[in-house]
Amino acid sequence: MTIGRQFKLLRRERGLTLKMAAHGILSVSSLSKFENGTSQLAADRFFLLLDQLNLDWDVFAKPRSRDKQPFLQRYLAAARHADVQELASILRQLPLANVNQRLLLHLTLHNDAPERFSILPHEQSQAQSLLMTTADWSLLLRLIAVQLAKIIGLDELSQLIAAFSNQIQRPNTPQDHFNLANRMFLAAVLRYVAAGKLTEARNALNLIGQATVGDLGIEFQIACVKRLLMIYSSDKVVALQGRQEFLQLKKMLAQLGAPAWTATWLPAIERLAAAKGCSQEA
Amino acid sequence: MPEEHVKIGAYLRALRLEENDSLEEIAAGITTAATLSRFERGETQLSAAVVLKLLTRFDQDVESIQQGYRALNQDNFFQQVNRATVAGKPALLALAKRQYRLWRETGLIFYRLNQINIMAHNGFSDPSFQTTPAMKTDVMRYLKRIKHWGLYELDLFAATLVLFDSKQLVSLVAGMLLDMPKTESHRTRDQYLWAILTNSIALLIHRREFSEAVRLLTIATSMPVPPDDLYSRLMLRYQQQLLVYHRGKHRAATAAVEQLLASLRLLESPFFAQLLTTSWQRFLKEEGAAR
Repeated sequence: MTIGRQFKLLRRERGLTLKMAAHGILSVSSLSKFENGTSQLAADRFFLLLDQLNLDWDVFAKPRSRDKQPFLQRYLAAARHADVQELASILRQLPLANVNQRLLLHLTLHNDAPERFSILPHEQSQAQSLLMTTADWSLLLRLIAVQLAKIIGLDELSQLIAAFSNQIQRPNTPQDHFNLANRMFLAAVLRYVAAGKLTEARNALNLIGQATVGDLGIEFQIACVKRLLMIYSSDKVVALQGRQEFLQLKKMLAQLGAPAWTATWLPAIERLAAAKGCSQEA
Repeated sequence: MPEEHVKIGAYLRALRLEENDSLEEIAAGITTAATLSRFERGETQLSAAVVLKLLTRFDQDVESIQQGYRALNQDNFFQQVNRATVAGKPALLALAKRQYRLWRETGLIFYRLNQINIMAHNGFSDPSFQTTPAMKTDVMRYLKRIKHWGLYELDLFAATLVLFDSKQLVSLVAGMLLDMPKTESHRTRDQYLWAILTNSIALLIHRREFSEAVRLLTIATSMPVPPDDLYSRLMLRYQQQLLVYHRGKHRAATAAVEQLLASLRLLESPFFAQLLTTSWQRFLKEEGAAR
């Protein structure tokens, strides 16, 4: 269907006359010719029309087959479910010139499937210097930071956390910026716990701020990480309480049916909890 | 008004530079780099068909690109709503009145729908220019015809659920679901879809229209793709238990709800636990009163 015909269909479905739709933007006859495919429409007028009729642009911009989709879109969908196969296939199709995108994929693949994908030291330092020398992180860079936090040396981790923390201090920081920062802080907590650095772990946890309001998924994740810290407490009473509450949280997740994306972080928490004798059977 | 709009060419240029894409990368196979460059600078026009193709070349999806463009347009309704929401109730009410007046002046239905969206979503009433039955009639007349639901219609429906009687609600939800893609998920659409489903079920249970509530819950739990977010899953599970309770299995349902509440109390923010506790107490009171 031509975009003109599609527009006509949606316009009529919404009960609008040609005159109504064209009002203030173009003449009735121009709109009519566009709808019937006898003439083209300049882009500026077309997008004003879509705005006037509250229509979505993506209805008209034909989605491409999956391997032609924009990189970030495809990456985010695959990374959310740790779909290693899809991540690897994105990498294969990526031109060598797309250095930062390749870097993100290498890091992600390594983190999701370390036994199959190794990461070279120079890639790690490349990612690090990229982040440290860029003032304003794009989405791509933020994603790189989240992945880098999972492998960077512990002494450099604090610097990375501080850098991301600075990124979200700006006014009007968008919500997804906060979400990614929180994911990184949570990943950092797990690494510190694994290394027995509980003070650093608590500090990283304290960086998680306002961003979580109303998001049950991240609230739940934070609650689990908090219980993990309790399990690692030297106070036996606190540790026991942490254990019980962690199992209670997992029970709720089982009742609701855990969404697939929990698989990217829950097993790591479970492993660390199990190392302290906290498992489902306990 | 059109003169004040940021030109689409200038916007695409900003987008391209932000993503670090070259003219050649974006234009390849669609137009020449030179033409794209001139379009970006407003020196030539491109057809709608060509620009629609260019949009699919960016890293961002087309929906995000549209939202970015909308954010530049201060006159856009949703931008106005955002500003008025920050400013508070009087600003929202003034915006609703302005939309109503524009509808009266121009006859363009969207002004009317925008006004209703604000009134219903915020629970405002102002009989001087508005009555609930008239709002309901106008939204219903519009939504009933929609077979291709855009984000505008989803937002309108989500905001106006309370206006509809139970039969209308179920039939609108069913019509909306017919238009939802079966497999490919679309984040914003999915969010609206699950918000509309879970809020409709909550509304029906509150109105004690249990057969309609069961119908919607059955539809919700047999959707090909379950909700991706934990909140929708929580609401569905909770609503299931309310219906179990209503069927007379008081002990089992109470135990299950208490379980959920105990887990929610472990979260840092008290929001979710409070939300469910309030709802649960209200439900028990209504059940008690009905018996």
